[in-house]
Amino acid sequence: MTKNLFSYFRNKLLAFVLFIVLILGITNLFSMVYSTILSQHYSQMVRTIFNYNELEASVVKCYASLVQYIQSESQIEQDTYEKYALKAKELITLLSEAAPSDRIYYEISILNNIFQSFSEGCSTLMNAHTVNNSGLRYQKLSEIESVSKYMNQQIDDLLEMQIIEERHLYTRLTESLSMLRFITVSIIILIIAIAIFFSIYVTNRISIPILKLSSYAGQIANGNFLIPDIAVKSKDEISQLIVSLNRMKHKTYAMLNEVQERSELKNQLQMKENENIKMISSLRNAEIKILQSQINPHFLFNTLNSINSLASQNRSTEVVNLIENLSDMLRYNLKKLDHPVTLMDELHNLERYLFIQSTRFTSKVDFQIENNSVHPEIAMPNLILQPLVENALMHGLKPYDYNGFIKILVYDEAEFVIITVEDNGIGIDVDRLKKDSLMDNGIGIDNVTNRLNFFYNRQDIITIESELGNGTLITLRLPIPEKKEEPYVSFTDCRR
Amino acid sequence: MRFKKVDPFQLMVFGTLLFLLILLFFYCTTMYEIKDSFSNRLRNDSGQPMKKIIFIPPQSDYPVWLQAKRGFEDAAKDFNFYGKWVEGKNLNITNMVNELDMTLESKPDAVITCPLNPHEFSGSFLKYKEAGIPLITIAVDAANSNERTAFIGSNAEMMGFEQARNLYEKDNIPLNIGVIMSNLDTANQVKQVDALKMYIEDKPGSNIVCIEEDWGDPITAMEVMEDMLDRYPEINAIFNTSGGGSVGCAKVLKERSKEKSITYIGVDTTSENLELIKENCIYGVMHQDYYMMGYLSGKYAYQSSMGEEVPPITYTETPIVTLENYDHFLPAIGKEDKSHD
Repeated sequence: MTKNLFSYFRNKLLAFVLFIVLILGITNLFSMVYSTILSQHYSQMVRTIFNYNELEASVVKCYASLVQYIQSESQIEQDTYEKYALKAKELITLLSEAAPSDRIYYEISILNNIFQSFSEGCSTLMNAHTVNNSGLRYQKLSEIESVSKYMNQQIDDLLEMQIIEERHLYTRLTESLSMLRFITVSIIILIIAIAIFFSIYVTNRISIPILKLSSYAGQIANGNFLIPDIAVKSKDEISQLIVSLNRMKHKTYAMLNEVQERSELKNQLQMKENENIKMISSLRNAEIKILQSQINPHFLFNTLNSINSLASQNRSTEVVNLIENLSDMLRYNLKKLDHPVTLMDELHNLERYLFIQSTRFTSKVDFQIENNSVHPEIAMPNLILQPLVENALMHGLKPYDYNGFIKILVYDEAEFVIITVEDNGIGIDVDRLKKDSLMDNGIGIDNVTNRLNFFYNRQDIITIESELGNGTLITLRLPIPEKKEEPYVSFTDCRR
Repeated sequence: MRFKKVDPFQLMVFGTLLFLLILLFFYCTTMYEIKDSFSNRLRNDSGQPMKKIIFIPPQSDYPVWLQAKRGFEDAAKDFNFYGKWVEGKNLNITNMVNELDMTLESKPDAVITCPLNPHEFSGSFLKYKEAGIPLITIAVDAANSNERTAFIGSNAEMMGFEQARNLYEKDNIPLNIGVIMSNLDTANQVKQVDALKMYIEDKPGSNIVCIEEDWGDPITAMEVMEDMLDRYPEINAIFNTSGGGSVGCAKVLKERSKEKSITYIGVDTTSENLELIKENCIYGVMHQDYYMMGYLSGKYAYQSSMGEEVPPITYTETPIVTLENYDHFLPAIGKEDKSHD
């Protein structure tokens, strides 16, 4: 936004005051000049009328002095005459200089000529040597009287003429003064209008935005950062404040979001860490249980008894098989729990376990494994299936004296490999099963569940359906990875 | 079309500035006018005071003399002299002579006047001649041509002759003529009447029944006219040399329904006289070009005051104005009325 001279309120206020002062100043100045002119003109007019009257009186006194002088020949009368003659001359000069028009000027010039004739006549008469004949003297006096009367008549005419002219000028001046008054009143009205306009303008441009700003700031203070920005319509100081406040709101909001995100991230990390700790704990626990199971005297005793029994019966091939399977199983169990294995490894381990257990329980338990999956190489945590089967054997079938079946079914369904472990044992309350997670001498269901959830990073891998007296069905839904993963080196392959 | 939004404050600022300019313009114009009024001092082109020429008319407010005044004022403008028109004087020969004498005391550069009775003006004219002040006579000439510098006016004999001829040739019948003059001694009118007398000398049956004077006053003219018609009912033509009396005479003619039976020819193309022609109250008037007389008298007075030679006698045209051509003289009347106002 480009800024101009009147962008700021300070400049606007200064301009407003300056204009008001300027207008009032000019108006007052011209009013004063007008009034002075009018006053001067009026004074001049009065002075002129006074001068004409003085002139007329001087002429009359000149003539009177002349008459007196002729009768008395007194020096005083002559002096009086000369005094008034001089005064009349001066007045004529004054009037001529102050003549308001060309016409008056020339009329006064004519009057001056008449006065000169009058003066010449008077001087002639006063000179006794020039006019010594009394008859001629009085004839000359009569002529001078006529001239003085004519002159006074001319003065009257001139005065009337000048008054008429002055009146025209005076009328013009008063008309101008009336116009000036009208303009002055108009200016005052205009200034009032401008002041009202300016007040409204200032109210609109300062008070209202400040109120808006206050409400806006209040909402921000209450944490409402989603309030729309105040629109900036001008370039003044208020607008700068609005722009700053808008910017502050956006920055604060951004910082708050950042802090919140960091906090959430931290929480997630904390949770992850907790899960890891929990998982590590589960793994340790499992490893301990496995170690315990490895040295489970019952399992080993029973297996060794079975070997002994077979050996005494010279069933060496079965003894060898039993020992091989026991040996492989023990080796498999020694594997770190946090190392993934393949589905096939788990199934092989389970086959070995079942082989040992079937040798022990001969025909009591019917073990079935059916693998229909085409993804034997998918990764999964180790020691998942054995605990589940062991759980079915020890908890489900033991109350029935190991009479029953355990069926392991592996197949593909959409994007999952489904593994079900089903028994027809006594069944168990699922909640209790989860709580009493540990088998007497093995890895509990909750350990298996935790490791599966952790491995696949989802919570729906394992489902348990069980009913007391009606057996148990445990279903694992192992997701098939989209990408072809690096094939894990199977336990079997390692052994080879 | 989108308009850029204007800041109301800027609008106010520019509006105020505009107002300020208008205000300043008004003030300056008024000040200039006042200054102009106060400094109305005109001088001639050479920077010297202008010549002072005084016009003393017999009737300062009579229409034809107002035409002369207009001509005189135009000459003053054209030749750059100060022309003083002596106002408020009436048709009084003694007053005019006195005015002339007193005007001499004001030492004018030239004087213009109309010596209604030339012989009574001779004494005053001689004083001017002695003082070396040019004197121009207008409408009526001085008794002696060497008393004045120049004469400008109508040829009274010629105008009287034309007036008599038109009066007779209107009906071509023997005329019993009533003559009305403003003053029986007014020189130019005497010459007019003399021309009438000469004209009807060879017109059998035509004669002048009576000669009266109306002092140029319409009321007096009415009385004179009524008395004349009462005493001389045989009158069938009026020969009037007094411009101011025609209105009164025509009123009597109208009242007695004599407009058609009496042929009336007066003088001077005043608006009243032209109106009478238009209304068929009178047959016509003899036109005297007073504007030209005023203009030429001013011109010659100025030239004389400058020491230049001027024609001693200048006659202006004197056509008759009737219903046929009266509208040609209306523009001049319009100016006269304006001047009169």
